[in-house]
Amino acid sequence: MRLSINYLARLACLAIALLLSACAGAPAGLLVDRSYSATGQDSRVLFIVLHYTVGNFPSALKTLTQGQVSSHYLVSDEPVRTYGLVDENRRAWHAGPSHWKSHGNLNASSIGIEIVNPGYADTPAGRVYAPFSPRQIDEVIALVKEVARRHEVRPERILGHNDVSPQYKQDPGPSFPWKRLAEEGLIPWPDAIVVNAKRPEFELQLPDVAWFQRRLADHGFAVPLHGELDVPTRNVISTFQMKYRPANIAGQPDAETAALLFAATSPGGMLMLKPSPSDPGAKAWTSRW
Amino acid sequence: MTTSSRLHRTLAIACLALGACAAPPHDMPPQDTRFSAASQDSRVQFIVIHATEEGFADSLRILTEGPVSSHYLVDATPPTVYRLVNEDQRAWHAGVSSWGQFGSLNAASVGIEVVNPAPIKTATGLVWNTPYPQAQIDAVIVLVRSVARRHGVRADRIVAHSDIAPQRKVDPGPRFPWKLLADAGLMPWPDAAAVARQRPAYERQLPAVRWFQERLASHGFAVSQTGELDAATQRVIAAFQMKYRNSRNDGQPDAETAALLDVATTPGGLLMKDGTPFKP
Repeated sequence: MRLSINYLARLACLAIALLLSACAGAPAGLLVDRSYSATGQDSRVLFIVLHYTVGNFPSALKTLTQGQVSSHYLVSDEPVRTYGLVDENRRAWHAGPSHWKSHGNLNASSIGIEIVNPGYADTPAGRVYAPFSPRQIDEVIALVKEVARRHEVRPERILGHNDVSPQYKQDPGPSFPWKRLAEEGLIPWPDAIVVNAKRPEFELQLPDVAWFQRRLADHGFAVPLHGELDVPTRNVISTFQMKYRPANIAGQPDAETAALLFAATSPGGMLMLKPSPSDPGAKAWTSRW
Repeated sequence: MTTSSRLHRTLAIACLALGACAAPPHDMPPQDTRFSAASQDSRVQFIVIHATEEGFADSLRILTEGPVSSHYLVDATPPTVYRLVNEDQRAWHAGVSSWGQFGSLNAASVGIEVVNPAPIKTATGLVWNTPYPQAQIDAVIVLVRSVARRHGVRADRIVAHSDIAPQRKVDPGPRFPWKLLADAGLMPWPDAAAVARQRPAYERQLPAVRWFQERLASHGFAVSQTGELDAATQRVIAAFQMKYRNSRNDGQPDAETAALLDVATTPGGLLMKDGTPFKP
């Protein structure tokens, strides 16, 4: 009996060794010394990117599981449910050519979340974006909160697909309630006091296009800096408006947009309305923060 | 401790190990995991080779205790591979960096630091005196092969720190034997016959600086298209030379560099060990 318990213990030890090596992906045929571990390390996940599917749930599920694109999560509408399609340790193919600050090609450094929503319809009255149900948004918020907490994603790196690819993408569009994510402590929001204080000044004198471009670039967008209000620049202004001022997303520079952009790119101008779930606590090194 | 309590503890650790591996998201909304996406791959898209520019003891200290790190550290005497960061995690080795459309490569790469001293600064530039011992390179090759296979890293994405940050970095330097990695089948190499064919034309007429800049950018480097042979452009040319023509890495455009760059950026010009063209 005693012997057999010892034998079991040994088997268990062997199982641990196998599990650990499977977990770490040990290089085969190479002795690797694992007795040291670096302080300076963190998750490969730096961004959370939100999308809408355009298609309905069955077609989105088919595209995202069988097509050339994918996402880590898909949040359906009726009924609301979260589908895990790609393990978080793996790269999903959701962002395509994409930029934010010095980061390029964000798939490897992000979690992609697709939200079932029809997107927009072009009508005689203009482009109309479909709403998201409150129940679906609650689900997205719970999911984002949990992903952000585990990977310690910085609040300003929870973004829309259009933020990282403003020339090609509109999703999740102006119907997506970013303000609610701010109220949940997931993303920072322009300080209303700063915005209201600056707005009259910009009403009197609107900054030039080069100012908008420079500030949009500071904020994180890939944007031309040539001082011309061309289509690529308007696309980026429109993307900024979709998040912070969804009532008018024409992509025209105006005083309210300027005031929001001023706050968003001024030290202390962005506020956390609630503490972030990614609160780093005491960290020896602060690469993410 | 009795044998059976030891058994219990061991089993408990085994369960913990399993749990750590699967990282169950305990506060997640309930999830449906019946479906899995066909289009997915590893977050690791690059392998970045560095030289520590320090001795082993200082390298180990800096990479484990400091604000920088790498997944692996390869010592020379004896040739030993140290794993400092799990491959699933991001190590902080590349810094501000780009290659092609990719920027900030830490999240998308495995970093390998190879112990080798810093170059010496002389009046005529940097001098690298210390070769990489064969046994150390053998260990690097086994390690790179293992990482590349497990993550499916493309052969043209095994790069030098100096490739992805040419304005700031010169490691692993011209003594790092990239050709041996190509000979081991790990990365593609410019077709030598094509280079020899192209070279005489470039001996007669060297292309304009603009041509070098365009080709270096299409190879993957971040390089400003100024048309001027400025210091920034010379550093990028030097980075290219360190990999493919390490006998001279002065950053000056010359016929051999032009021929190598022409072949490296022409479809079918890069060959794998067996002579087949590299296909992305």
